[in-house]
Amino acid sequence: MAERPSFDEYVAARSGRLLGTSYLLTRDHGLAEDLLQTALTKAWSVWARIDGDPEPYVRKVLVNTYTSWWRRRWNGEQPTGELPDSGHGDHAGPAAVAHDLWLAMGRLPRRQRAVVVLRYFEDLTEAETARVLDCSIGTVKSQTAKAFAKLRLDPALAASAEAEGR
Amino acid sequence: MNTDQLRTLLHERGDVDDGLGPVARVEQVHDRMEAVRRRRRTMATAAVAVLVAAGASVVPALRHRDPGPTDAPAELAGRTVPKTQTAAGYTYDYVRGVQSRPGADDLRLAVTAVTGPKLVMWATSSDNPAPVVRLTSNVGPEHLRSAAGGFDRYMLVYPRDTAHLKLTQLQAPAGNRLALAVYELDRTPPPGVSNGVVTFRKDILDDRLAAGLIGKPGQTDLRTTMAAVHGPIRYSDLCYGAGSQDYVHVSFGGREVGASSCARQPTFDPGVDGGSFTAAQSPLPAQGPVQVHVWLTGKKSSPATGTSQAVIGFALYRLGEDTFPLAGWEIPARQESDGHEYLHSQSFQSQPGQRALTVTIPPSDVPRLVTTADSGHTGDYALTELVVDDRGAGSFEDATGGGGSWSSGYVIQPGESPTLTFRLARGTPGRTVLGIALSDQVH
Repeated sequence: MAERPSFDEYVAARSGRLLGTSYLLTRDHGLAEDLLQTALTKAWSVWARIDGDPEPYVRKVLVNTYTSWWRRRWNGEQPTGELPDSGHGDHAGPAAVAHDLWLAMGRLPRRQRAVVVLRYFEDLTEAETARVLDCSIGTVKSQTAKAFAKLRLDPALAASAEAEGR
Repeated sequence: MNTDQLRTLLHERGDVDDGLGPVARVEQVHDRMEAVRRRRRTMATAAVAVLVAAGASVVPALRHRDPGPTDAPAELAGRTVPKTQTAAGYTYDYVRGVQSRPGADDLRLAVTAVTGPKLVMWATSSDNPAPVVRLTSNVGPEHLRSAAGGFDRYMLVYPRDTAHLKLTQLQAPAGNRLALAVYELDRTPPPGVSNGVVTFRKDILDDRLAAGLIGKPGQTDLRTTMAAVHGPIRYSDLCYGAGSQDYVHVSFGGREVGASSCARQPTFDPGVDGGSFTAAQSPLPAQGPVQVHVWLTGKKSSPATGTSQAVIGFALYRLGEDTFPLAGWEIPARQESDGHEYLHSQSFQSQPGQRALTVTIPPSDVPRLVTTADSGHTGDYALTELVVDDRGAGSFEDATGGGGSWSSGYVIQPGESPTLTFRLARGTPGRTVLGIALSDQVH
């Protein structure tokens, strides 16, 4: 069994990547830092009990904290019913598509967003994602499918696709 | 949109600038443990309690100042200012105060508690009709509500906190004045085992200190004997000044009961945190004398890294017998929270198998502390949450899945009538029982 690194070593080596995950989940730099520190604080308190690689545990705490965190902590994140101005005149360019995709990502339900981030940013397998989210592989599959369907139907991406097709 | 576009987007956006840096982040994580200490106080599950306490010991040194009663004014806002005030066994001395002009809507004050805890008390000039005021702060409870006129209530500001306070008049006669008084910790420690920096109090409400020991700086191995203690107990360990990856271990009669991470700074009031054991669970041998061993190691039992200034110790408390049942646990009838004392007054409990318990609390004249308890889950993980009027007030993570009892730290203010929901947010319900208890503030 691999030896567990010290907490400080782990934070030095991995916090940058985990901050990226936090940001993709929260879409806010301040909240991302808050989420990461909350997860690391929880991990630190049980560090002595973690054998081997602490990464799965920390990632699990981080994602679970995100999906269950209190609403009041997240009141800076306001989903909007109307599309904000994209600022792009040309909807067909790659940058515009990425921008619209980012907007659409922001409208995904939290659990679907977490599945997408774990699968396509953390590059976890479906089984690994299921373990992080405490659910079945089937649930991961269905949440992924729902996320993609929702993204494709999102008005921002629909506009991009329409422009691409012109 | 395809998966390649999605993956590219996530990697571009996820490559964020880590402006804080790992060193500062580690520091901030350690700071956050202070908040953890306030919110998570396990009273019944031993294993979890030890680990929570392990992360809780990050409160800076007490630097006792000389009392300054001579600079106490006779009055603020026409009220006599107490020269001293006690809170949770400690005595505090008046150091300064402010008052508003007549008729002012509010009074603001910043209180920096750098080296030790402080108390803030408040008052208004009018008695009839009794004014209603609200004290809001950025630390501790979001607000305190009071209908009292004099310096009757206080708020504890923990070490390293800077409290920005605002005292507001909600209902008050014209020309009413507001006042705030600040108190610092008296240098005389309360009765108990003390090294002049930290103290294991002799009495913590109904819990009585049965044995305690604090080593000198650099002593990394302590041994002593104590008489056998029967019945429910709680033990607290102490370790500060050691390396961040060092652990303090405690054994009774050769049986190790836990290992906790060391803190960088001394813990204020270390006896309030620790692992509790019922009489049946007690790790103590039935017959005395009991050999106690406290020692310091690095991770995985390697030699400790920071030994020259390390201070280690332990305390063992015999728990009071005045308890009440809640969701399968025995909860102390008297509790301390944020420097106040509370006495149990009311309980609510769910039917087995329910995932949530919701109750609407009628208003009362006194602040009431909310305690929750849960048991009966299946599986090895449970996350419970306390929600007050649709807003989160605390979450409790239990790595054993067996449930626990938790002092939420949430206090219902006088005149408020919130709806409380205690629910199993994660975990398998099985025969889950959920409980909510209210305790009236008596000091």
